[in-house]
Amino acid sequence: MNKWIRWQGIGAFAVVLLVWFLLVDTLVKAAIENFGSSAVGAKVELASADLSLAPLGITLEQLVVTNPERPMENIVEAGLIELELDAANLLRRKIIADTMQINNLRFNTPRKSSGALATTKAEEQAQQKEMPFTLPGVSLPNTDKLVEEQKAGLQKEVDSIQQNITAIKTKWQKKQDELPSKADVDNYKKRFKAAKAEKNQLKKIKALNDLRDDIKKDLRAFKGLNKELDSDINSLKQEIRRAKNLPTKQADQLLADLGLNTSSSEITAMLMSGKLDQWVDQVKAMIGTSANLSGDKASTPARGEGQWILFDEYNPLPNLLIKTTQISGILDAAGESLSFTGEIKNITDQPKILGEPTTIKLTGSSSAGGSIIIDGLTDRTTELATDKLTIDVSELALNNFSLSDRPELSLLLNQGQANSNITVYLIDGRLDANATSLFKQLNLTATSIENNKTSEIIKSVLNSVNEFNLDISATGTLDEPSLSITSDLDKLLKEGLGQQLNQEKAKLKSSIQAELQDSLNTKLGPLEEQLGGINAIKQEINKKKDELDAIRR
Amino acid sequence: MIALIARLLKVLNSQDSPSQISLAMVIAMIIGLTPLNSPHNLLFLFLVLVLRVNLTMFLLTLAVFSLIAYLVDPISNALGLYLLELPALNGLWTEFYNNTLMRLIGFNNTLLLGSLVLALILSIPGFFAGRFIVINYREYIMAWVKKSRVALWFKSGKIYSAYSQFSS
Repeated sequence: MNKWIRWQGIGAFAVVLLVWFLLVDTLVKAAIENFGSSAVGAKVELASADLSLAPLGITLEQLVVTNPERPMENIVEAGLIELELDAANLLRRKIIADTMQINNLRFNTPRKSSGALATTKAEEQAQQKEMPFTLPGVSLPNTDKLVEEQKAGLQKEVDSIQQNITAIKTKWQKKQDELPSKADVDNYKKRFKAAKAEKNQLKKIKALNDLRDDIKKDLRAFKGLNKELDSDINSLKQEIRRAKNLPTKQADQLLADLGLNTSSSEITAMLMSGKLDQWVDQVKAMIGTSANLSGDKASTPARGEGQWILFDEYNPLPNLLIKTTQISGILDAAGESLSFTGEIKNITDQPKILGEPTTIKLTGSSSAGGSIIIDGLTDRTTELATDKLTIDVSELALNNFSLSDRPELSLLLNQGQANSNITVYLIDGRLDANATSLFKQLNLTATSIENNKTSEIIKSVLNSVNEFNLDISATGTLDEPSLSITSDLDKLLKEGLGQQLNQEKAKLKSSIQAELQDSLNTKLGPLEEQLGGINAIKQEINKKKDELDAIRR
Repeated sequence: MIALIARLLKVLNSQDSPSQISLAMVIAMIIGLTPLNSPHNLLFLFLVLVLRVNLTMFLLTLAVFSLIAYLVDPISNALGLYLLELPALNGLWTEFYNNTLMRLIGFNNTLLLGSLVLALILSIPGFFAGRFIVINYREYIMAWVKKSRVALWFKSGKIYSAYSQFSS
C-alpha cells in the first residue's frame, strides 16, 4: 500500500485547500469585477470582498459601477453590501439570497479616472453630444439685396404706369383729332357771320338753322368725353398714388419675414441640452444595466469557455436571485442631499424563470423639508419588455444648482424650490417620458461671455425670474430620444427680445422706406408731368366745346 | 529546453515503476485537456498528491497537454455539444442537471464535458501506451545508449551535463 500511497500528499493537499481558502476573497473580488464589468459595459470596481463559510455569506465593500454612457461618472456607489447565500443552490452554481443589505448608496458620483472599457470612444461621444448653442439675436440681416429687388419691382410698376399714360394719351389725341378742328370752328364762325349778313330773312333763318344743326351734330361728339377723360385721368392719378405708397408696403412685407434668428422656444432647449443629455444618459445607464442583467443574452462564448446547455429543472430557479434588497444612502439632487431608504425586489438575471418583475421603491427626505419618492419596475417576464419609473419631488430645496454650464449662457439656481413629477415608460423599446416641474422662490444668476444688447436683455430677463415651469417630454427610443421642451422662460424671453426686435425693425423700415421712396420719386416726376399733358388735352377739348357752344347760341 | 529534456530523461531512467510514470502522464492529460478551474480537477490533484505517481512527469505532461488543449478545444466543444444535445441522453442529463454534485462539476458545459470525455477515452490506451514506452525505453534504448559511441559523444554534451546535475 505504501508503494502506492504518499501519505505526505494528504498534507500537501490540505495546504492547497488552505491557500485556496486564503485567496478566495481575492478570487471572489476578481470574479465580481469581471462579471460586473462585462454585464454593465463599463468598469465595476470593488475595494474588498469577504466570503464567510458559516453562515455562508459575502460582504462587499466599496462597490463602484461606472456609467457606461458617461465614463467619468458612476451610476452607483455602494459602501457596504451584505448577503447570505443559500449553500445548496450555490453548489448548483446559483446565487440565491433571501435578503441583501446595501448601505451608503450614492448615485451619479464623479470618478477620478475614466471607467470606460473601450478606451476613448464613450468619452468622445459624450463630448461630441452637446448641442451647438447660438445665443438668439435680433440683429437683422443685410437688406441691400432685397431692397434692390424691391427697386426692380417699383421700376416695373412705373413702367406699367408709363405704358398706361402713353396709351391714354394716344387715345385722347386720336379722339381729339376726330373732334372738329380749329379750321372747322373758324368755318362755323364764317358761316355764322355770313348768315347774319344775309338780307333775305328766309335764307338767313335757314342758314342759321343749318349752322345750328351742324354745330349740334358736332357737339354730340363731345358728349360723354369729359366724363370719360376725367375717369381716365383719375385712374392714372390712382395708379400714381398707389405707386407712391408702394415703398411703405414693400418695407412692411420685407420686414414681416424677418425676426429672431432663433425661436425663443428653442432657447430653453439649448440651455438645458447639456443637463438633459446628462439625465438621459443616467436613465439609459440604469435601465440598460437592469436590462443587461435580466435580458436574454445570446452571445457567442469565448474560446476556452464552452457553452452552458440548460435542461428542465424540477424546481426551477434563476441563476441569480436576490429576493429582497434593503437599501439606504444619500441622493444628491440639485445641490441638495437627501437621505433615502428603500427596497428592491427580485433582482434576477432570469426573470422569465422567476415570473415576477424587478421593482424598486425609494423614499427620501432632506433636512430642509423636501422629499422624493421613486417607484420603478423592470418587467422581462414576457416578450414585451417593460420599464417604468416615476419620480415625485416635493419642495426640494435648490442650492447652487446649475441648469446650464455653457459659457455662451450659463444659468445657476442660487436658491429656490422645485416640485417635479417625472414618469418614464419604456415599452418594447419605445420611450414615452414626461417631466413636469415647477421652480419657485428663485434666485437665478445668468452669465454670458457674449457682450451685446441681446445677451444683456436675456441675462436681465433671466435674473429677474422668480418662478418658472419646465415641461419636458420624450418619445422615440432610449438611444435616440426626441425631446420636446416648453417653459415659461420661453414666453418671458420672447417678450423681452420681441421689444428689442420691434425697435430694430422700425429703424430698418424707415431706412428702407426712405431709400425706396427716393428711388420712386425720381421716376414718378416725369409721369406726373405727362399726366399734366393729358389735362392740357382736356382743356383743349373743353375750349373747343365752349367755342362751338358760343357759336350755337 | 535542455533542462526540460534532462528532467524527462531523469524520470525515464529513475527507479519509479512504469505504471507510476504512466499514471502521472494520464492524470496530467486529464487535467491538461479539461478547463483548469473545473471542480473535478480537485479530485485529480488530490490523486496526484496522494498516489505515488511521478510528479516531474506529471508537471511535464501537464504543460504539454495544456498546449495541446488549446488546439483541441474546438473538437472538445463540438463533442460536448453533440453529447449534450443527443436526445437519447436527455433523460440522463436532466437527472444530472437536478443533482447538486453534477451541477457543481458543471457537466452541462460543452467544453468541460467534451474535453473530459475525450480525456477519459484516451486515458486507458494512454496509460498502456505510456507503460509500453517506458518499459521499452529502459530495456532497449537505455542499454544501447550506455554502450554506443554516440553515447560517449552525447555524454560530453550539454544535455548530459544538465542530466547529471539533476541526477545528483
